[in-house]
Amino acid sequence: MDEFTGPAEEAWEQVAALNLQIKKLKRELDMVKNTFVLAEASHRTRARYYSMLELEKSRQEGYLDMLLKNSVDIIVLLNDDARFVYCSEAFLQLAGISNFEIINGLSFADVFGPYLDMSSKEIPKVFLTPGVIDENAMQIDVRLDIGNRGEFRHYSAHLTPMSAASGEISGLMVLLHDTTEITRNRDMAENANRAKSRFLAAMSHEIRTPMNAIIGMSELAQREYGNPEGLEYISGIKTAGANLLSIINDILDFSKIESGSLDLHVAEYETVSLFNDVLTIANVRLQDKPIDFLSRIDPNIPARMIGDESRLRHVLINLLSNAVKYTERGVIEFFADFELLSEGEVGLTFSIADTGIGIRQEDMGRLFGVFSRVNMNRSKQTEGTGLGLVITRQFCRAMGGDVTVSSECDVGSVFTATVRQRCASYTPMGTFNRAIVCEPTSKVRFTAPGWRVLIVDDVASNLKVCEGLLAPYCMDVETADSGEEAVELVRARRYDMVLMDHMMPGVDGLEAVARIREMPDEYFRKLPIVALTANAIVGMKEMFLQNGFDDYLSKPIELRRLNEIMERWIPPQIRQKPKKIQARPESFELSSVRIEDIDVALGMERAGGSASAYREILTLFCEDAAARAALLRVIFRDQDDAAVNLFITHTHALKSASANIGALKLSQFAARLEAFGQAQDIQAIHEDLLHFLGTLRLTMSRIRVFLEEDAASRNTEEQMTGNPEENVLRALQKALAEETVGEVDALLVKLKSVTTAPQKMEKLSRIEKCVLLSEFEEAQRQVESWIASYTV
Amino acid sequence: MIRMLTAYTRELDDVDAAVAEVLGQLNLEEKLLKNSVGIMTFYGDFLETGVVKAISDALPCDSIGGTTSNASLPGAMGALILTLTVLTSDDVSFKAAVSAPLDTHLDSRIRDLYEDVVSGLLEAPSLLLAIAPFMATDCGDDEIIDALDAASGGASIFGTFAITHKIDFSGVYTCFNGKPYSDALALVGIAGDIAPQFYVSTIAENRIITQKIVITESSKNCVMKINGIDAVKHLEAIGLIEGGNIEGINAIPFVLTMPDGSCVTRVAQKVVDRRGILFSGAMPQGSNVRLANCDEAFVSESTGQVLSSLAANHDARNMLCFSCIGRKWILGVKGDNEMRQVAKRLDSVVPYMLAYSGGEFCPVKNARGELVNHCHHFTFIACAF
Repeated sequence: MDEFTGPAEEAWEQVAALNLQIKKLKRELDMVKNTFVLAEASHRTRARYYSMLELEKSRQEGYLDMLLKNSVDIIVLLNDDARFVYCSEAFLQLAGISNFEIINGLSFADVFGPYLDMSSKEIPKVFLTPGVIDENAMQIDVRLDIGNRGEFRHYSAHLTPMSAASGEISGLMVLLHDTTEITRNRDMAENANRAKSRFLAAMSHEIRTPMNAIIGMSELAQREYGNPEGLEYISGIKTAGANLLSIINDILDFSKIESGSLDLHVAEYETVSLFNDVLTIANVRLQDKPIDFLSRIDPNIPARMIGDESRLRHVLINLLSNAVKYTERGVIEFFADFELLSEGEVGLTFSIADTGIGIRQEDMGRLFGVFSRVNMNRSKQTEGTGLGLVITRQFCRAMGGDVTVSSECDVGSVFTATVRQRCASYTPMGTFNRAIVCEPTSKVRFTAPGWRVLIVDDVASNLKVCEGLLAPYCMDVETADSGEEAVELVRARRYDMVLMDHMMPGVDGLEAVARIREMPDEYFRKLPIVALTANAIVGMKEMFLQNGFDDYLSKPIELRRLNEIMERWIPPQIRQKPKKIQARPESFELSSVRIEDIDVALGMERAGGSASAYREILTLFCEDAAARAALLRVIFRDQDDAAVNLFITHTHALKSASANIGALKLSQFAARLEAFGQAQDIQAIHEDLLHFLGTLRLTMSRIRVFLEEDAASRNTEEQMTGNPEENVLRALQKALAEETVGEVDALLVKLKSVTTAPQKMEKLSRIEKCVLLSEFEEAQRQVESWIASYTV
Repeated sequence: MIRMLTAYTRELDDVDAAVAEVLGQLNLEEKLLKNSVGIMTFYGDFLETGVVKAISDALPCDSIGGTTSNASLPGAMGALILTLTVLTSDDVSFKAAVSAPLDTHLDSRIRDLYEDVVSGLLEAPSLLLAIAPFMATDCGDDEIIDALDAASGGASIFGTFAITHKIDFSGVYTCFNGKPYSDALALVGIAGDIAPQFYVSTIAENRIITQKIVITESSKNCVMKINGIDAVKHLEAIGLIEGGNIEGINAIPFVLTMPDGSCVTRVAQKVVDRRGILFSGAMPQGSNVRLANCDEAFVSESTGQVLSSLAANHDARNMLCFSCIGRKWILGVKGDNEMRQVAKRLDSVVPYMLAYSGGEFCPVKNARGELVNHCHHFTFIACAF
């Protein structure tokens, strides 16, 4: 190349330039070709895709057309001026319009207005005013006579505004669904239901009256009839009758609910009384089931409420009864709480938790269903209509609340009922003493009339407590206040059993037993002697058994343990079924008692649930404690062995006596001193004795103040609130007039608690009999005559 | 303050002439300030002929770049063109670097790249300009931006995936100081007092076709089944693929609804195992996808949307723009329309550079008004500063 010059060089340069140009052109061509390839590929793809879309769109339009043509509902599309742009074939056929074009563009109001029944409740604007569209979606019932055939039909009209992309209303869709048949059937069903409910409501009195007579006659027969076999038959009749009455009541209540005629009987009531009734019944139903029943009731719940106490009682009894019914063992807990909702209104929340069979998840939906029983296999032994929860829930809802449940199968359930009540008084109810509802009869499984028991204890209040606890057994009970006296009594008289305190001054329990066992005659060796001891420590039982005792019972005495002892030592042939015992007259009085540092509820429980017994025990305690306190000061001065032993004896006595009245702190203090005595720790006794005596003095002072105030308030109550007996009688008069049987029963129980005079008890008995026989008018006359006696 | 100098050449073969042309336009002796960096976009052949290398060598600063199909700047536009943008400033500093190959250890290599960039700056960068390789692997486009976002602690990232004019995306390169890379990320960190503004076009709701398709089997960005059948079969049934060939499918954006309700656009990149489709980003199983109807009018409207926003920004002195290659394909034989539209608005207003892209990086504001880095497709993006 370098060798070429002149024209050849120029030629080569031109060739090179041409080659470069060719290269550039090829490059451009390549670029353009690629561009076209890409453009063509894109275009082809898009064309294919849009073609498919068009096909799909046509298909969808075809489907839509088919849907609209064949829809039995009337579908109308309107533009933003409320004019027809589309309507379904169904409307055209019904209206007798041959072609949509006839109405295309016409105003909806102009076309549909003539079809409308103007008496329809609420008519959308689009039906009435041309050019106006309802801007909110709605569903409304209208009556139309489309085609003016002379028959209005019911339609459910659904109006749905259509929006443009900008958000403005661009039209309205009207869908009309003929509900004539459904409405007709619904009306027929409602009429039938109402007729049924009216019939049942009318039959209420007619059905209940003979049922009450059956139950009442059975009750009377039970009282009169002595033959055990016959009594069993009568008991069966009574139970079956009560069950049938319960079923009938459920059905009648349910029908009232269904027919919308459930009325609440609103009146003022005592909250304590409500809880008392409810928990008493729950305890009764617990019977011998190994179930611990615990309750926690908010003491701030107002003492007086306004509401339907009877229905509320029904709710709580139903839920508690279910808990008892479906729980074989474990725990049932009852909680009651409240909150202030607004001026004068409170919300009450009741929770009933149990460790029963629980409810399967798949059954939860049916729980509140009518006539629904869940867990059928496990509950087939339990009775019921399946209406209880339905009614309970309806009652709660009528009272502004509801019932809810949470449950786990085989673990348990928690039912929570809420209601709203008006508040008559904001004064808090106070601590609800469980002892009030503790009826000794529910704890005693048998009686042993004629069984002779000797109770030996140097503490008078302990003797009183033990006497009270044994009373329900209907035994012959005697007492001795020392070991010496016990030995003499046993020698002189034949007892079937001895309950002997361990630690007593002079001849203590151990020595007394030894002397008894040494007496000639086999009887003294076989006589059952049970140790009563406040020292329930390991090894004590063995010590007692080795020293002549046959058994032992810890103080304070638990009724369950007492029952066990009695069952163990009283032969079956001696035991009899317990008869029903009248409720103690004063059982409800100490509901709001507070004595500082004393658990009154516990003390009353240990006194057998009797307020009057508890008062007496408190009095005895004060007397006994004063005497022992004086002795302790004297004893301590001596500080020799004998003195220490006496010191131990008296602190031991004070320990158990304090525990018996519910003064637990004092009891623990006494136990500490006793322990110091046993450890011969004189220094510790010296440091604590004065403090203990001061505490004891303070406790006695508080008890005396309470006893004085209690006596005064009982007198005052009678003077200031009028005659409580008269108040109850007047309420009973009203309940008899209204024939509210549940209320009548509750008031009769109340009347028994406030009536003590023997002649009045007879009046009461007569009234009871009338009620049993459903002779309410006669009962009412009796009550009126009683009331009239106050003004004479 | 950043001064933006732009230059171009169409001279592919005469390297010296190309260099002279570009340098002559730049007038670096007079206009260059203390700190500078170069950004090149070019038709692929400029690499082969050595023009890219020569220009890079001639610059008194580092440069990054990438292949593109078309580009424009004031006074010039086209396919067979190389554009050079030099950013220069006295108070803003620049640092350019390139990553190790991203086919493996992506996160750590991007982290290393970022550290390299930061090491050359006096403070952390407030803007990152990125040119990414087009890899079409199961590493979706968002993985690169996520890694860079994590490495930089959320610094704003603006940039592009390099692309070419070829339908099979072959010959795509990034470059750093003139050296080409098929699998490396080129990055410029900008630190100093700048307040970049970002603009992204959107696809209007009325362009989205309501028919939904559901991704019933997928893994990362690879979709195996749509509506229960093989992805390829489904797309054939609706006309997007013919005979297993996906050429032209990039003209149809796939709008994916994310679990948080936001929408992202994806493009299909290639067929996998004859039944699956690889997309530009993650396609979560169970997602609803809709297709968008994008035509010439769409391109014009969406570009105009961004240009109007730019025009309202009176503080903008310079602009960098990228537009998705799919938008160009929609325009077909009128492929220059968008560049013309931009030229009409910006030519005598501000210095700018526009290049076509295989995917766009641009921050967007989230519901709380915070800027969040995002990878887009089918968009026209702009960064004004």
